[in-house]
Amino acid sequence: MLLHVHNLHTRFLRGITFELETPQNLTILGFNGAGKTTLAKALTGLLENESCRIDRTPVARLSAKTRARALNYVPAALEVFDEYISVEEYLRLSVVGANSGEVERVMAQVGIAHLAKSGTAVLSSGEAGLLLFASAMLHGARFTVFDEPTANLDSDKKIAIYSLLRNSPLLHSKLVITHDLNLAFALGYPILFLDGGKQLFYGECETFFTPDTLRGFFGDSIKRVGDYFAVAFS
Amino acid sequence: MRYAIFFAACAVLVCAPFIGEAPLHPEKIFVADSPSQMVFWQLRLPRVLAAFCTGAILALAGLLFQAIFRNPLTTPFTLGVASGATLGAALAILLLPAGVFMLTYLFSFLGSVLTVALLFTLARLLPQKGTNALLLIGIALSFFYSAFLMVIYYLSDYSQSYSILRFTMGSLNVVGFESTYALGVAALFLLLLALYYKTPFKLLLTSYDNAFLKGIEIKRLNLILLLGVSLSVGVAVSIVGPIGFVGLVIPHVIKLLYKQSSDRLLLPVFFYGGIFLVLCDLIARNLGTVSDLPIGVVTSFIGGPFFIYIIIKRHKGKQ
Repeated sequence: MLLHVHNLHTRFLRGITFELETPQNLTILGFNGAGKTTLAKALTGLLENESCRIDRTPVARLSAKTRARALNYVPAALEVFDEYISVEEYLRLSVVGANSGEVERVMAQVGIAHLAKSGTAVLSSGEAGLLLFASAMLHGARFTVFDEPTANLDSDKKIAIYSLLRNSPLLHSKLVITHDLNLAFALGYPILFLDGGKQLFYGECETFFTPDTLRGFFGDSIKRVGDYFAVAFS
Repeated sequence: MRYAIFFAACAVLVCAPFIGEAPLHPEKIFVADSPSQMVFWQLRLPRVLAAFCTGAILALAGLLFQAIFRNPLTTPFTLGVASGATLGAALAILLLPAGVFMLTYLFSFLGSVLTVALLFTLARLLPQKGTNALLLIGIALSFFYSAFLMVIYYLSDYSQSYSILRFTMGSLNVVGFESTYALGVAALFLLLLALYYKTPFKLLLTSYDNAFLKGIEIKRLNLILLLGVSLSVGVAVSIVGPIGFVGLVIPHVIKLLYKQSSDRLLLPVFFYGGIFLVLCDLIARNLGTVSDLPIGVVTSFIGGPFFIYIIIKRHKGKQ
């Protein structure tokens, strides 16, 4: 399956163009307000447009069922209107590609089995993040856009999510929006860098993480220490 | 607790037809041509059933509206849909010859559907989380309709204006089963519609984005549910007049009682909405007033304070 974006313009985005074929992945980087979430919404059809296509058909013109099998967006924060919907119920509703027998297994893998009967309203932001990730696994779309999947997580959970991102057979093509350069570097996916709605970089991970390119985008605010990147506060 | 309430509710439903001003001998209700038989089969039973169906429709409509419009205060009444239906019925009384009963339904239904269409259009002009603004528009619409109703009232002759006045106060004074059948069909229709769309409705209870991403055609689903609600509320209002508070109070009370998501509450809300109105009607016709108190007065008397109590209790729980 081919995800094709050609010259995407919205209120915030200026001419985004790239292509992804399953099972290729992509990391989307950019500063606050660069248009990352807008891009995610355009890709998944939440924001109507004609520029994002699946196998040449604009996303907006796919049938609802085909679209759901092809595309999923995992927001940064969990939003549930009905306070009485439980974690398990939420996950059962998420099943599109996987079969519903996977729900227990996925809950255990992500580490939220003990929360199965809890209401979604009482989860901490970290737990909500894990629930969203589990939901994405059960949805099992061909292309899944994750918006900051590791924000709000403790370091051990970050590692668990990183490993699931890399290895879970339930996830196919992954588009990962993040601020975390360490995650981007560790994943090693090709990188799309946005600033002010424009696509400033689209290429291989190794090329992005060369000192010159990094300095070009981040100035002196990022320091490389071995294989890790740190914010240089002083 | 839940079972106790359920049995009490069933008891209310069974006993209601036997309680009233005219004495009734339960053993004689099957004796042909006895006064008891007449009162039971022609007056009490149709009335109790009409009350049950109306309450069920209004409560379920409230639950569905609250989920669709994302606001616990939206009901067909707070959004002006019921006022639209009332206006439609009043227009029918003014313009059509008396006795054309089906056309009153139609006008009333048109009133509610047009209001929903108007709200739906206006909702698109509002920013995404503008349900409060929608609620204010609903209130403005209600006032507009009230003014319109006044104009109709002044344009009508004496008997018409009396009909309209009685109508706007809400009354369950049905005789025979004709209206009860219509209400029964409307109630059953709404219940079956809601049950049929239970899973997509549950997805709607997470978030609109999530429902969309899981492959629900949201616009279509909302349109179907809103039309279903307008149709049933239109029928209910055209027969018994506007009866407030049921759609607001019952879904909240049932949620507090069951502590489950709204998709699991379709049946309880339907059932207890019906029971609530049967109970209110029982009070209305047994107070010993010269003529029966309009049912809307009773629901508001019970519903108003109760609702305030719930809001305060809820608020305290969150602190």
